[in-house]
Amino acid sequence: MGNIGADMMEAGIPTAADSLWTRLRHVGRRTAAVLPMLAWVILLVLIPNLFLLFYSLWQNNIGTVAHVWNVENYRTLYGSQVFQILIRRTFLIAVVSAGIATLVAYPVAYIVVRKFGRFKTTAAILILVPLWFGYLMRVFAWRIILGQQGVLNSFLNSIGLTHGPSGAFLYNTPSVIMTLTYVIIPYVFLSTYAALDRVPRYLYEASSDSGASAWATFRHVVWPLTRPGVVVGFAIGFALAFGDYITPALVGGLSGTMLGSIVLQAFGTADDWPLGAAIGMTIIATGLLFLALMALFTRLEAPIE
Amino acid sequence: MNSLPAENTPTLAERAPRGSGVVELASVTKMYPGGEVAVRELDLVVPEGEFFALLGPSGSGKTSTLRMIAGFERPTVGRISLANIDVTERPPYKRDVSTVFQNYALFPHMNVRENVAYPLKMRGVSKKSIAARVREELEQVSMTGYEKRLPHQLSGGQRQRIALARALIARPKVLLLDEPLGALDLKLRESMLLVLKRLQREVGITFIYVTHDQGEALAMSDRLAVMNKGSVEQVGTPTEIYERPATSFAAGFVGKTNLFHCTLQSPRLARAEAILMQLDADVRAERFTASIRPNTIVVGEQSRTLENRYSGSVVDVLFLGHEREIIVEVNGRRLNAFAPGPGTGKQDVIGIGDQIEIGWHPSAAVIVEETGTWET
Amino acid sequence: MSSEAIMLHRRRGTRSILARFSRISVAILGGVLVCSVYLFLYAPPIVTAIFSFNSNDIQTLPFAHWTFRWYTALLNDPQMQSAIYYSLEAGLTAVAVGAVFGVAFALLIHRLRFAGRNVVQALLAAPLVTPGMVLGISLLVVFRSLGILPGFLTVVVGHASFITPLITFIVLQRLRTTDPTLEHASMDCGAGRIRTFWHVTLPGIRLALLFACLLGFTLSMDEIAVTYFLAGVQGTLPVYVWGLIRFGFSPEVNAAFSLIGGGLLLLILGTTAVVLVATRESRQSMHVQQQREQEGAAPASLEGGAAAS
Repeated sequence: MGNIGADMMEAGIPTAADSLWTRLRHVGRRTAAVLPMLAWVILLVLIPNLFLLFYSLWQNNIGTVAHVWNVENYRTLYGSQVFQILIRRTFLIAVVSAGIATLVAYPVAYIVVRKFGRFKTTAAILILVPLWFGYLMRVFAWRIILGQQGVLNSFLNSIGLTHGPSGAFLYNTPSVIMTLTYVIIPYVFLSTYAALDRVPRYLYEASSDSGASAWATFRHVVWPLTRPGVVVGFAIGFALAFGDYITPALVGGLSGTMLGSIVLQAFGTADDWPLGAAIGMTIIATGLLFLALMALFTRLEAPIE
Repeated sequence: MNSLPAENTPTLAERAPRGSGVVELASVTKMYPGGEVAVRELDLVVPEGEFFALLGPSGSGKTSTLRMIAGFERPTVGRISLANIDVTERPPYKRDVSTVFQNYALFPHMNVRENVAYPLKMRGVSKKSIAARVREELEQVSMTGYEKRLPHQLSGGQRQRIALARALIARPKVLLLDEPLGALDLKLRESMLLVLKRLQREVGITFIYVTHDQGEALAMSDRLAVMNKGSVEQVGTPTEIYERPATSFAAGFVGKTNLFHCTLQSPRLARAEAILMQLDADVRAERFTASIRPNTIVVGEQSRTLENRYSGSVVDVLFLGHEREIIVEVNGRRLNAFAPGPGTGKQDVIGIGDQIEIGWHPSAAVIVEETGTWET
Repeated sequence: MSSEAIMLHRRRGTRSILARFSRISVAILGGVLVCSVYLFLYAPPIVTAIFSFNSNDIQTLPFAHWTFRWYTALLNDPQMQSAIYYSLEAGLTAVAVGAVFGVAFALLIHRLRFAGRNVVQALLAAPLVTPGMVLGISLLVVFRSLGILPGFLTVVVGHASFITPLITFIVLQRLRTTDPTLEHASMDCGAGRIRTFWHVTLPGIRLALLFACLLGFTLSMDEIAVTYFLAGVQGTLPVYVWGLIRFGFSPEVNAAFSLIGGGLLLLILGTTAVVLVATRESRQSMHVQQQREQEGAAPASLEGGAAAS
């Protein structure tokens, strides 16, 4: 579309012929313009993460933080058996939730894009609408449903599959996975829907025209072209789940704790900020790793015009 | 060059009886959900091995017709057959027809070789054979050496040739082309016209070419169908359509013409507004439309020997290089005519406001069926 | 018919029956999948809304009887009310900050070419993609080091850190798709940079900005992950409700959720309706133009042809 604004600002670029003062003034003006954004990014993104890193390398001293540099926190984190299990469980929960969400969202997005015709946008919006009921509510609702005298129990009792209230459905890992999957689906749907919607109709036609059945068209044309969107969706879901603490707190109980639960304690009752910071850094590192994997995946794909 | 009413001219259907065409449409109607009728009771027979054009303006139904032949749309009513087999119910991948899309529709994630090989891959041809065929096909469209390129690295003309190669590689019975030259600039378009014509002759299969550009249609096709508002108004060779248009629309859309709404004064005399003209054959109808091509109108002294001669004033002169198009007003009616040469000689000069003499032979008038013109 | 022909006919027949059967069963499976997903997504909120009318103290079935008790208790609860006001205050402030900085940043990114533009953009977007908890604790440690106690300022900063990039990118997207020659024409007519911004640029991004602000506001009202760490004694609505759930329970919570959910939904629906109506004219004329292109007029460019199909 052209960047006339930039071009117009470029038009006033001093050349070597201009005086040193003019050139300095130009550089100064441009720096001044960019300064607020630079300041914002430094103050609100770089510094907080830097501080988090520092805190993770400092020592906890009964409620206050001693600025003693050490890697104790990390040693605790990766050395202890308990934490190992916790990290593994968190990873498992995140992968399974994001995985199920993707497995569900992709086919639904495909059907909406291909078969809903005029109503596809409405249908897509209807999947996103539950996001506006509020995150807390969506998680809490599962407590109602899975609870001892909750909806699921009453339903199963009434059809005779169980007798009496069962505490089996709540306060464990599966309930966390179920809830997180529920939370994640609209986000994954958004990404896969966008990817599927970008495949132009004439590519389906050209493939069919060349002799490909619907399945062959999907395998050879649609899937390669939408794969990046699926990967992005999965990565978003994973990131949401991995760093979550609300869900395990509400429906996880004792056997469904995740890394986030420890952070909650660390910054709360346990008052061990450095440890909490170390876990925070772990989460960041995992996220960045996923980001790198994602970027690798999507860079190998060709653009659609 | 006679002016017999169009009803007497044998139609293509009569010349090529049903069952002999490689593509046949029988009473095909296509209606869209909103109530819009794109194609209206269409009967069409396309003979084998021809370069056949579907010519018409936007909304004439030509693209819908093409898409129905390809299988992307189903006719609301009617049957479509390919080589005498009814394919109306068949999906595109079960028809022996290939399409070259308007925007080429190359798969962006596959390189040239993979794009061209795709139809053969779908038919389960062996890898070795595929490699050989791809090489052949690329050579035929002069794109050897481009195997590893991706579509977004190719120019428009190159993409189109790859689209052609992909469409031809599976040796379909019919090749459908949907306004393939529209996105190219003029010089490229002109050279591609020749490439396509040569290709069709070499490969020998039927090409069905959809376009709104009458110049393209006239230059390239062996036969063409003029479509308007969902129906075929005339089918014929370019010469037939140009010299003996069947309808007023065809006359006005293909080349330029002057249309006269005439009332009969006597079997061989017609009056159109303030102009009286002689016809060269008896006409029975009371009212009819006559089409007179600008190139059949004689300008200048030579017109004095013609039966229909008039004098009028020049309203405008358009310099076309090898000739001039002039607009003359005769008895209140404006006509288009051509004056030969660039008009550089002193005697040839025609200026705006000049009085000139024009005329035409009675055989120049062609009686056409009134179907409106493409501007209405 | 010869035996060969019969065999061919029968095989073709069974193939088409099999094909039709599999096509129908796939269609049914697909339909079942889509329906169950929609049900799955909407069931929990509906259940919550239903339970908000339950007269029982505990979240169980069956209901003793239906009641509005919890709604009235809710609306009379002073703590709930102050939480709502606090949320509104924080939300509006954060959005205001976000709007000012967001538009400024969008213009800067769009207009200015400077070294590291992509890096700055990525960093600006970081709070949007960071898990809320990480964002919360990273800001918290900074505030602690500076000696700032959690309170209104920290909450607003926390919200603004992701609302600003949200507004920036939505407005930036809009800037990228508007015709750049409009501003050129404005200057050609004699308007200076500031007047051009006010009369030409701003109206162009007005709608996108409004939408982004409303989106940011709803995100702020719903926000818990970040806010929990940054809130002081007085909590925002989600923080207050979280406290209710965790440390004591009151069925008011269901009613609260239903109200919040309903309110946010209405807000977003209302905005969308306004946006749709406002753009209806331009969408209609675009639709007509698209129809004309589809009917076969030669596309002006490759992009035009691709868009028309």
